[in-house]
Amino acid sequence: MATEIAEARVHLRRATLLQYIQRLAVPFLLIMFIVYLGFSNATFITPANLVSIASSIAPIAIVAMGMALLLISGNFDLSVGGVGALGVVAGSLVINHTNTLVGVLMLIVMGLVCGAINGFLVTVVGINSLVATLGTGYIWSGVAYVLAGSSPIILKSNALPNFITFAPAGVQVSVLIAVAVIVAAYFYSRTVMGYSLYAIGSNKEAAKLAGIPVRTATFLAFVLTGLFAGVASIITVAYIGGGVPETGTEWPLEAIAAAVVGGVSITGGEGSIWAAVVGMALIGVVQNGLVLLNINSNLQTVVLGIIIIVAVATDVRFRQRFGEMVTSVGQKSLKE
Amino acid sequence: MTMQESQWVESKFVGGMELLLKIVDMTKIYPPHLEALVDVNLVIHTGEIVALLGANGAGKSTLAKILTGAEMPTRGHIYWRGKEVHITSTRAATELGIAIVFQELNLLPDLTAAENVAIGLRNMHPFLLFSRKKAEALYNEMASLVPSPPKPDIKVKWMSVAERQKVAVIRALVHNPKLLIIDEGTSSWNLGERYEFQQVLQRLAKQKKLSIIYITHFIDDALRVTSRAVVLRDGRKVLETGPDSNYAYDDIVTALSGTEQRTNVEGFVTVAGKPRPNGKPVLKVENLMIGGVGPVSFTVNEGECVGFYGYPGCGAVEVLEAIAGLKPYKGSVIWRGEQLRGGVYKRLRKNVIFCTGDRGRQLITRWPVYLNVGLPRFFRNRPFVPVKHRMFEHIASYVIQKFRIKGYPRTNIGALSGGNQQKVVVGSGIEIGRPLLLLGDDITRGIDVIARSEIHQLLRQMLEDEVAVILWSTDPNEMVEVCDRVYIFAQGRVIIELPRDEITAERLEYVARTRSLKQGVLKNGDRDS
Repeated sequence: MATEIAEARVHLRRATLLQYIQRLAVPFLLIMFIVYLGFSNATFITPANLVSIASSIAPIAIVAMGMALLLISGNFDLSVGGVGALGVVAGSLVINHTNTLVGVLMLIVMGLVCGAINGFLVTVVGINSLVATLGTGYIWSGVAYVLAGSSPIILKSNALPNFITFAPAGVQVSVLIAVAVIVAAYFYSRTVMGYSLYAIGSNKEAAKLAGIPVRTATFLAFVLTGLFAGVASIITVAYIGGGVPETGTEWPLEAIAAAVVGGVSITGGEGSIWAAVVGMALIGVVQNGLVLLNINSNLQTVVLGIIIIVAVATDVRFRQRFGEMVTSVGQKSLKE
Repeated sequence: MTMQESQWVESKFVGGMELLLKIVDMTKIYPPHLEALVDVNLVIHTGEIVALLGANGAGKSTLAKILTGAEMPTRGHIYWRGKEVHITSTRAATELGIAIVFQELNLLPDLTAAENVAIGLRNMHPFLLFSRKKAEALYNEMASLVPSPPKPDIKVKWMSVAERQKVAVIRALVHNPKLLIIDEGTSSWNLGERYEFQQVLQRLAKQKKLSIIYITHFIDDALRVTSRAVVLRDGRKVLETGPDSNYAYDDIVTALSGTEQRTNVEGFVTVAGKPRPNGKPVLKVENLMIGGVGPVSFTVNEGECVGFYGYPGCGAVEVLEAIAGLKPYKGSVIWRGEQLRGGVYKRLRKNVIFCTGDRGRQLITRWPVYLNVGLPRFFRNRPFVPVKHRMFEHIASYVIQKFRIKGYPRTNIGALSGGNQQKVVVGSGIEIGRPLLLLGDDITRGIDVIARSEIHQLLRQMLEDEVAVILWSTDPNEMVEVCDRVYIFAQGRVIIELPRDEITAERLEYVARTRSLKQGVLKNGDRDS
């Protein structure tokens, strides 16, 4: 009896270990890329280059955090690009007309409001999130075009760009903000509200039966995504030094790609903030590597597309292989 | 001629019946060590019905999957009309003439009954326009073999579970099979429907010379319809009865569980538990109206288990869902002197909990046991604090011990057998807190007799002062076994209330059936919601 229990424990521990291993496909790919690029290109592994990767992916990484939370709950937000476009245009206008602090606060509020509108449309009106955010995304970017008129808006004061690109220990403030957002999103995903998103994405009916406030939790996820898009647009305003309404067109898909490459399920219920961070890092490293390897910029997009597919395919195979093992080992621990 | 073939020739005609299928040393091992089937031998003759019995996880479904080409055996031989065959795909099985009605019905919810039946057929060309007329004609032809079949033009998603199962049976018959495997096909039918269906099976077996493997949890069904029974336990054949030998209920239960179990006169495992004296009423429901259901009024007393009996679509489930806060309603629901308001979230805080036998609706299968136990307890904490994994693990291991669940808190709940999953659902519900109002929606659906009687015992034992239970079921025996009082539902209303000493399966069935017939329920097909 005692030995049987001990044996069952061993099986159980093995199942848990396998469960961890099955998530390691993409981190493994990331390390492979870093090692390869490190050996083939002298500049890749330098601190300056690594910081530049980090600061170039910072805005989209921030957007990807919100997107990951939404994807886990089984929803999408395609309007983050529109929020970005509206953010940079309206943000630069407000900064030019009042001051930097008011502009930044306005952008945060704008993000919250846009997120709340999406959340309202999805949870209260009941529109599918893909459709609702497609619509609102068009509206935000349309408004951005109207506000901008024919010419891009240029920031008169340099306060915001100086602050965002200020690098106290070689690391820019924009990267620090991104790290703060990642940490916040990580902790959010571990709270009761965060776990509720997993439950909603896995089995909405089960979540409802268990008294999870499905609508409130989904609404909050949209608000958070909007907020993060607002924060990302603050950084982008600073990077550009003004506002152009074309900003953000690639945000939604790139954020979804980052999350999905990392292993967040497009159908909801599976994935983690950590996975989205790894996915984002992979995309950033590949983009940077392609530049360093002097690959034609038009070809870079093609390569990026291939990488996304390869990463997801590896991840799927890994999960299948180890998933079967987890189940069989798990069942073995149940046998008496 | 190999040895096995010569054996087959010898046994080709046994008792005047032609041998259709012979399974020799069938073994299926899931790597690395899970033995689903070990050296199982079985023969099926033309036109006979054989019951395949076993607890959840005994290997019945694995055998069915091997015969239909969904799984390949690790080793073993299949002889079909004397020739060895390798069933490598579901298509190969169909071509041989083996059809199955699965426990998990793979019907397409957005298609109509006729479309579901016709969709995979050869004479429906995949690239030509789908002929609805042809499909419906075909459907109607096959549907005549099944009692009160659903109409051909109704979408499957609007059907009750029982109706879906009928469609699945009709779909299986369309291929003109020689061997039909029914895998729990009738587990959620009511007694009358099951009885009618079994008569159909017997007619098919006799007239069309169809052989049937009837995989079921209902031992009395097996005793009634089949000529032989085969009992599996842990992947091994532990009992096989001959066509002429009489076998008793107790023998089968013993073979199923591997231990002696006492049974009562009706042949059901008795439940230890004293009938409780009537306490004071704790739940008062008055003029409850939900959509087309109601008005319904009833009371539940302290420490009492009240049964709701009726056919699917009688409205009892809607009443339970309304009390749980899942459906909007008009009327008053007073629980311990307090009007219940709001959604599930608010009612769960008052320990009003809804448990359903539809496990896919209640469990998150990719989560471990402890998180599934924790899910209804999430919002007992504040929303923005980390999930208390430790606490949920403690609760889960308590539930596992108390309800003797085979599993560990960190085991993925999908790896547990159906009966154990159901015990997690019910156990977790029972332990949510006191005072407790447990609303059970067919909580023993599709699980084996042993798990079922264990759940019944748990329910009886927990009926203390601070607990009230309402149980809905289409199974009259469940009412007999656990309920102190029964309300019979038909057409969205309570038609009669039966005290403990008047609850018998015959009475329940008779009342529900006559009342439903009178009001035309059965004619239109009995529809959920």
